[in-house]
Amino acid sequence: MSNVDKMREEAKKLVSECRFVVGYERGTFNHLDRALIAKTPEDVDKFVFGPTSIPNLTLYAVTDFRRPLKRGESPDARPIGIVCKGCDAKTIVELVREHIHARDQVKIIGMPCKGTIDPKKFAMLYGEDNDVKQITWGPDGFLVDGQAPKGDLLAGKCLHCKVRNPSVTDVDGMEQVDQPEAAGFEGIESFEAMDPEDRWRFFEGQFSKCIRCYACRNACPLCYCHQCSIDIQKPFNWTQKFTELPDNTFYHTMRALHLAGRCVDCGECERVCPMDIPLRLLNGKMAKVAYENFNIESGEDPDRPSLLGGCDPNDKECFIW
Amino acid sequence: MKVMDKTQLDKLFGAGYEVIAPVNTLGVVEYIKVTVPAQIEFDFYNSKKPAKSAFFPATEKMFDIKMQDRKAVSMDESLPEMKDTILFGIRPCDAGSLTYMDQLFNWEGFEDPYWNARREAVTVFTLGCSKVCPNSFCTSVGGGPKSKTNADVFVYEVGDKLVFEAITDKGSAALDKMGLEEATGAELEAAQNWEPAEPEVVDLDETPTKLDDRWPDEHWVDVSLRCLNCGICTFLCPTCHCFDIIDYKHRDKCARCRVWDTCQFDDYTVHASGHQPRETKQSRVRNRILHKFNYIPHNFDMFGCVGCGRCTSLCPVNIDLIETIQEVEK
Ligand code: SF4
Ligand code: SF4
Ligand code: SF4
Ligand code: SF4
Repeated sequence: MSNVDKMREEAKKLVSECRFVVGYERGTFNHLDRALIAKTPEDVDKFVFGPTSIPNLTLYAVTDFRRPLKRGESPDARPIGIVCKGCDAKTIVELVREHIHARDQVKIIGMPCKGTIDPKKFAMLYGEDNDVKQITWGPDGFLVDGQAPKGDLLAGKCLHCKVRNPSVTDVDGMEQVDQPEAAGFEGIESFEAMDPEDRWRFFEGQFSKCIRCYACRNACPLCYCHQCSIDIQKPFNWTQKFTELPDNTFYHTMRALHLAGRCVDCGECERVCPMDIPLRLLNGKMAKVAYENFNIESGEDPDRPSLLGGCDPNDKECFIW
Repeated sequence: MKVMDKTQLDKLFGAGYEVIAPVNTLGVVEYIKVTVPAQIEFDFYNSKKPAKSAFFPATEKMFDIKMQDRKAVSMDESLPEMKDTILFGIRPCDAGSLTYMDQLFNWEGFEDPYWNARREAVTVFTLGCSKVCPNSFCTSVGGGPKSKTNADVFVYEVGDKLVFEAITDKGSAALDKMGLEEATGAELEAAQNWEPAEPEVVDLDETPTKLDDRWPDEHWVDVSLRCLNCGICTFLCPTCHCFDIIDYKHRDKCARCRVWDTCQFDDYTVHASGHQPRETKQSRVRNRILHKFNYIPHNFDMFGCVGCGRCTSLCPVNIDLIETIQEVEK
């Protein structure tokens, strides 16, 4: 049985015991599958999985679909089923160790993954208006309508991935894929090597483009705060809605800090940004700092508290003790 | 009709106008002030940021406020100081959106001085579309790649040349100042007989009436479940015009500004009491679509959408406008 068939079979089992199972369906784009919040076995029949199954669906485990309760009604305690790639499954680990979900409240259908495409690279190579029908996995990489691609299509995050076979899953028996050696912090190192002035100028340019649509935050499953500090205007605001450089810089700095050591590099913020701002650089740098100083990697060890959610007396910064 | 070589774009600047034109800023095509021809981008389907930003910037100062001892002592209207400006290379759909925006910002006797100041100063040079934008349906909502609506000058791209057709007096005045040659021969013929490719037609004629009774939630829940409530589809829509008004304060300086706002955000429509009448995703998606395809048609007798396709192309979770409308209409 192929992994996709297995996924549908498991999702059908789960759909009866879960509030919903979220998986991928083909949408109206050729370069991007989309979330399908399945509530019936017929919905599950539409599930697909492949190199265009890019969105991190664990987002829908933190966006609440519960309707307001009637008086006397008790909340729906059934778990949620989610189709996860390796990077998405790491998000669940992170959400569990931050006590957003109990582990048994999330049923993970872990899908071995050979890497997803980067839609921006795809548009560069094939044009924004192309007639490609489908992108699939072949024996040695992607196939674009059955042909070898015109160039490199692999998403940046996939170069750094160590979990092509998800590290946590509730479904056994998926056919595993090869795990190539993951790149370290390469992209980050060349960025660190930049002259601070140049680096600042680089980010000034990038942040100036931001329209503060907050797609990066809203697509991020780890930005689950009910009220984000950026939205708080009363009684005191940290920043304003101006799309000017100082406010934009504040927003991005704040978000990067809040995600330090928590970001699992699912790449969603960068993918959804309509202004092509390289947000993974910021979060990657924070991940590197967290790793070097506190030896912590997001989404790895479910038993260790998250960097910002825990407190360790042996941490380097010991002034509190 | 007039003609010039693309290499002679400096003539645009020689006519005593300021020039706003499409510029590729780190991968984002937007309309900003340019000073040299080399900045102008020609190779794009449509700009990512709609040309509305030339008239309705994302952040705009409305009032200067003087402060003394942390109290406001005076407040003066601060209108944009506009020189005569050529808005070069705006696409026909974005030019089309001005029909609605002009009426909206001058609705029922209220005249918006900020919009109008910019609008009056600008001479619109519409650039015809030689390729069909992904997800566009301009011809289904009254526009098209060669639509001259709201153009003062219409520009044809003929190989390495640009052919200019004056549509209004304002347009011909600008062309006269640029000192261009008369178009003749092959270029003139190419411009006159230009038949660009058009996007597929979608039947939307009945949509405004069909949507009349589609208010109940049941029609909207499934189509909006995956929405992120980000502001992309609205900030980058040429006919979205919502703004919030906020004060910028720094020591004794203060300015009252307006900034783009969007009905997709969850702090939009919050009442002073804290009550949020538009609480759910479906109600926000519903508002966006009904506004464009039901309320505006009823209030202004036109579509509130010019079919540019940006909202569909740029939505990160593939909420496809046409697909959604068709689903809701069912
Ligand atoms: S940026 Fe920070 S405050 Fe805002 S949602 Fe993310 S974690 Fe929460
Ligand atoms: S998605 Fe991009 S444009 Fe939108 S707020 Fe984030 S960085 Fe800014
Ligand atoms: S429809 Fe798409 S672009 Fe619009 S708010 Fe929802 S997710 Fe964002
Ligand atoms: S609703 Fe969408 S297609 Fe219509 S004008 Fe706005 S962005 Fe363009």
